[in-house]
Amino acid sequence: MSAAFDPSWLGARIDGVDPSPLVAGMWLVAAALLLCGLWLRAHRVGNRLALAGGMLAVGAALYSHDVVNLPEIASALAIGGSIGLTLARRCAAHRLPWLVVVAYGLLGLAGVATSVALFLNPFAFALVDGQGHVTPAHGALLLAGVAIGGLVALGALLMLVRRTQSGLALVGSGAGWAAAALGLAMGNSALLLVGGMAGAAGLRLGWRARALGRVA
Amino acid sequence: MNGASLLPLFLLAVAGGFIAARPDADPDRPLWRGGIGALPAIMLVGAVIAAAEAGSASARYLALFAVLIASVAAVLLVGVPERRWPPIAPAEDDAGEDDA
Repeated sequence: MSAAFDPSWLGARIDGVDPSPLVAGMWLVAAALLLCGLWLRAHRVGNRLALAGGMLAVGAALYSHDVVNLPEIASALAIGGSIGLTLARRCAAHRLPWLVVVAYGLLGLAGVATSVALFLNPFAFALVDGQGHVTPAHGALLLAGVAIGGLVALGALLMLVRRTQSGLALVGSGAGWAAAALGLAMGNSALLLVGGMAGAAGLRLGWRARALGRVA
Repeated sequence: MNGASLLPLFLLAVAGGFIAARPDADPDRPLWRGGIGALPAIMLVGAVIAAAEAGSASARYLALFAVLIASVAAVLLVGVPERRWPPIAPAEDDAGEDDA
């Protein structure tokens, strides 16, 4: 079994397209920027590095795929971005943490919708076996995406109803694990790397917050 | 499967995230105001890829819906920490709540 370190090993060979070192490099740089953002999370520059990493990852996704509906995607990005920007700028300062809870809930819903969309279109991502059925491994990963995304959305809704922010880190961790499951199903290294980082970091911070709360 | 070769990278990322999430980096800056909030926003990339490769109409509109709500969430998670946060006491209706 060869273990050659080439772009396809890094996940650049998505749905059968030729491996591209440029795209693999973009995924890795994006993941590195987001890791820097996590490391410098106490500083504003950390947030901006994470923003740069996310934008680079979206650019790599658009560059590396045969986009059939770019106007619709651009419209959805523009409309969603405008709604998010308006909410982030106009919300009262003491309600900003609740806006973060809402954002995590929306990410959970996005994970569910993306998993179902992949299940409805398995041929584009080579999720099928020779007989055209979704393989058990890919089915399990998509099911994990639906389950974890649904739990994240439900958890965020419960936090809003019960007006508690004690589970914020765990909800963020769940959104990360859902992204990692989708990355594993699609063979996308950026989703997998950043989702795994967010999941592990959120779990550690969440457990610590729970332990501190128990001691207090 | 495609993603099987990515498992070592995944384990590396989990270890990196666990190490990078050292506690008490800055007690004056709560969790939701730091760069960690922006990490799960990578879900937007998955939604964009799913929308880009959409086959049937239902898969396309579902993926576009995912792009829409993921972009709202991504801008919120990145934009909220950029807001100026006045060092004032929390409002009455939020008093006594944990800031995670």
